[in-house]
Amino acid sequence: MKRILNQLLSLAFVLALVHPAWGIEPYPITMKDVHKFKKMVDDPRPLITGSQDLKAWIPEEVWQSLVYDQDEMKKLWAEIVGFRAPEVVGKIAPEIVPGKYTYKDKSRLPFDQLMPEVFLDKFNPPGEGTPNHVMNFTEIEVIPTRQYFYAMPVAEATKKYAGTTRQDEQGYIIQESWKAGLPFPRPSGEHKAMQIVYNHERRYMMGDAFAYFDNTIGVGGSWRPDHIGNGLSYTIKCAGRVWSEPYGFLDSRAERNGEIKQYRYEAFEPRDFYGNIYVATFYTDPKKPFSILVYVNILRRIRKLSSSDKQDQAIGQDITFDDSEGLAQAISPDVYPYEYSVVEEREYLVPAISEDGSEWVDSTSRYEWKGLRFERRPMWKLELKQLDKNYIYSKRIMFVDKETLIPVLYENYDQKGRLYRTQIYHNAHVKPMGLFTIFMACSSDFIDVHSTYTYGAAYPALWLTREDLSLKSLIRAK
Amino acid sequence: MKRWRLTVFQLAIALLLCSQSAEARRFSIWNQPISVLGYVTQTAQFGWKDTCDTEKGLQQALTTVFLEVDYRPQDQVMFYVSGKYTIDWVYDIKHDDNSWNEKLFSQSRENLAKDDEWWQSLQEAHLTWTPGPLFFRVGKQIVSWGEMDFLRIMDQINPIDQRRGFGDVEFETTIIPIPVIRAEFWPDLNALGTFLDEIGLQFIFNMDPVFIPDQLPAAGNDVAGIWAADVTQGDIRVGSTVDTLDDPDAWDSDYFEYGVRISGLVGSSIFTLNGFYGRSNSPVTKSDLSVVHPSFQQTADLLASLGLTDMAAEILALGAGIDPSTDVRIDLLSGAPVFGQVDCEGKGIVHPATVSMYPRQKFIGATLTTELPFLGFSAVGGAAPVLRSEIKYEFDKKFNEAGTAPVPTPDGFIESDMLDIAVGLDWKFKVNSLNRRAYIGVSSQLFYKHITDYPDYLTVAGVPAMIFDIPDANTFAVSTVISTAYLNAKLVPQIACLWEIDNEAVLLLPGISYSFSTRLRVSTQYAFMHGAIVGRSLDVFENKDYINFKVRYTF
Repeated sequence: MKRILNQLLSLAFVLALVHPAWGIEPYPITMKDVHKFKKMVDDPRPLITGSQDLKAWIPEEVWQSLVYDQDEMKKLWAEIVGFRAPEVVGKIAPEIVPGKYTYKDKSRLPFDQLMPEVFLDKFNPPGEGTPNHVMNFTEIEVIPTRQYFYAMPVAEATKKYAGTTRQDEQGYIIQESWKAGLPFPRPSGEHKAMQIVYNHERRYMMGDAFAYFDNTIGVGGSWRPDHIGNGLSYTIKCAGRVWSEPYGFLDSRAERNGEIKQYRYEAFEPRDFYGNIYVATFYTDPKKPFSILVYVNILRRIRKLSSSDKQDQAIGQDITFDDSEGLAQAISPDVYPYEYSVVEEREYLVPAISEDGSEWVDSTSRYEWKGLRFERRPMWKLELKQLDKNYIYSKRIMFVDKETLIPVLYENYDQKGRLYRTQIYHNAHVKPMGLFTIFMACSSDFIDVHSTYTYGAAYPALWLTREDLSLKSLIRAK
Repeated sequence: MKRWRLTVFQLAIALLLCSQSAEARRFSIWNQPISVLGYVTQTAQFGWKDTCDTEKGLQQALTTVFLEVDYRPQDQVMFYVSGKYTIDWVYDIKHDDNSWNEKLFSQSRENLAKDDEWWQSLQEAHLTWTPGPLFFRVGKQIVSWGEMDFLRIMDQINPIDQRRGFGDVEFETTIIPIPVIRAEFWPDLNALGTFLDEIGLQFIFNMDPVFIPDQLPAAGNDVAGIWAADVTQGDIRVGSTVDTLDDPDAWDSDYFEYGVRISGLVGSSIFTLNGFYGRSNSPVTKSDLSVVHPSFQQTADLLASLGLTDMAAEILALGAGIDPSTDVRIDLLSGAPVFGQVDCEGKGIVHPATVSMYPRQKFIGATLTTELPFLGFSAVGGAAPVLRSEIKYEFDKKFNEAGTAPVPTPDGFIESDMLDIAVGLDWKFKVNSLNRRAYIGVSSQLFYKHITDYPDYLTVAGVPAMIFDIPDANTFAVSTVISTAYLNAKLVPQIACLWEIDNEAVLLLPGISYSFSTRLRVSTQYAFMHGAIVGRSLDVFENKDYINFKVRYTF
């Protein structure tokens, strides 16, 4: 027995010295590291000033491998989408010029012409204009419109494969025609709305592999916080990889199974979820149900969850699985299909993508959103009309930025046509890298009057391999 | 030592409860995260029957404090330790209650008032190291096999604590962690181009540094408190047993345990193949017929001296298996036993003398979990069910005889191979008339058990041998849990049911919980227990229906 143990230990040491497939030393950080830069509430410090947070979290050589010339990125992205945002806005309500405004200015200036209704309602003291929801705001700064851009490899892949991704007669992607990059940088034609949604589905916000710390506070109608949660997720692209090795498919398994993405989430809080770890695998074929496995802490077992159990509310929050990152539903002709249309194509005044992460939420003032800047953005307003009356929503309205191709606002209506839930995504742009990250989010339930504030911090995690999202990775503390 | 442990617990809890933010409970040691979490629960359980085996009114008032610490000095190295302290205040609240004392519940204080054994206070304490494709975990831990809930099939490695019934304890603390070494190997299959997406080999080694058996309900109010099995026959009540079972020595190689499991992922299906060689955590027990109660012995001797040998033999047979602690004498005029200790109905309390052993346990098994997408119908929410299945074949399993009478086998126990098969479906339905916003979750399981050599012989008592609580070679049981959520998932009604078909026994556990926040939850549960066959399965808990109320605060 001693001999066997010795041999096992020797083998372990040898294997421990073996680096992951693509040889990048792991450089994980902790929630504590994130909170050193910015706490969840009551902290107006900038998170991303000069990208110092990422530089602190990422080894220098990794940083250097991920930064590109910003002028080059701007130029290439403008070429790909065919415009620069500052050049196409300013036509509606031109009297609203850069400067500081309060909610009282709504009575003298035509904000109602420029802001989506959800933001117009939230531009009020907490509890006014909306039900008792978090993240209302009373003061904003309108800033000049900026040009945003993607990382050079994402832009290059998007340019390289532009026009090659094909759709069938109904508008669904012919899977094998998509190779990499955002599939429809200039949506057009009969299936334009679906193309916009596909850009979201195949998004490249944080690159091929990243870690994301999220912190959530759920608040009830009486302003009492009733949910505090946080955790760490790892996401790894399995197909269409352009940022980091291995390019294309992650491995032969990804190619064989048609996997597009793997996601792992480890809950730290609330305590009852502590140790629960989820791993989800998504496929390019919408007919292939995604796989979701969870290590259930109290059972000490890995359980498989139903891939179609996606309409229940996440406990304490105001989203369903299908609402994750705005829209996580498979774009499917068979399962809860939608009729897609572009309702409007125009400029809107929306929260400016943050370049410094200085926005904050004031818990002493009913979770008022502060330090918020707005900018005019060229946008599409989409309507996704649900064709199956058994689905939780009758329609979804999406507001999508035409330059970043990223949705910023969702309105979801129940089967009675009532506004049920909204989601606001306040993203950040890390300019040296040309990447985007969900910095803050607000999910609101208008029927049960509850809302959730999410604060997140992401960073590229190039060391991630299959092993980090495997069955083995599900078992951690417990 | 025990007082010291309690003080540390109280201090830690007080400090943590004082901190308001989550961050305050996440510290750093050498710049690496350490998390301290836990919960406190307080329950009050009430019964409404006033029979001899239970208590009307308040019958259990448990406080449980659970504390866990997770320290990760490196990404691949984790140290986890958890502890708990459980106190049942009912023993103090009812210390001068006549009914409580007369029914002998007060005498179970030693066993149930406090969980203060070291292995109860220290739950898990293990070090995990995950270099490359390897996984090592050493220490007191839980190793959970199998797929089924409610009834355990392959989940046999850790003992369980079932002394306090079905609902008034935290599920997490009913499994007793034990010290084992666990090693896993998860090779990279990518280069092999196999149909398998992942595969892992797990090896479990228990060197028996300490043997912790299952903590099971027992007979005798003086030992098992309000959860004492209600076993009576005529004018006799079965009280606590006096057993000659010797606890195994530490590091006894005869009690080493070995487990091997292969786990695999194919697409989105998970399978496991399992093998285990060790010792059962529950003993098998038989009457110790070598023990004859002195009163019976003296009476038999007297009768024998008078030449009444047949009567003497009868008396001896009656006294065999009765522990001398039983307060009984034989009335020489009537020949009937006269008990000095009787229950509330006047039934004499007999303390059986038994002999037990922890039998060898050997089994192989497999599990398969997969989704059945073709059963997702949009009209009821579109959620496809997940199928869980489990099969186990156990070799040479030893069983308790229903009446604990020895049987004509070399060791006096019933022995047979046993096959267990179970399938479960976890399904969710949307029923707008019941809940427009959330699904109704239904988790149903069917259990089948087959005894390959069901006894067809008589016990030494001359009656047909029958396995305890397994009345036939083929038996079935069904369980179902139904739940949903209202009010932003704060209000969760649930009903759980177990139906042992062949024992004609039903357990029903409806309950409801409300979460004021992720920290504070209140709940209530009603338990209904029924067994139609006297002395079998849930019939011995027939009088113990209860309702409990619980407050739970997590930190």
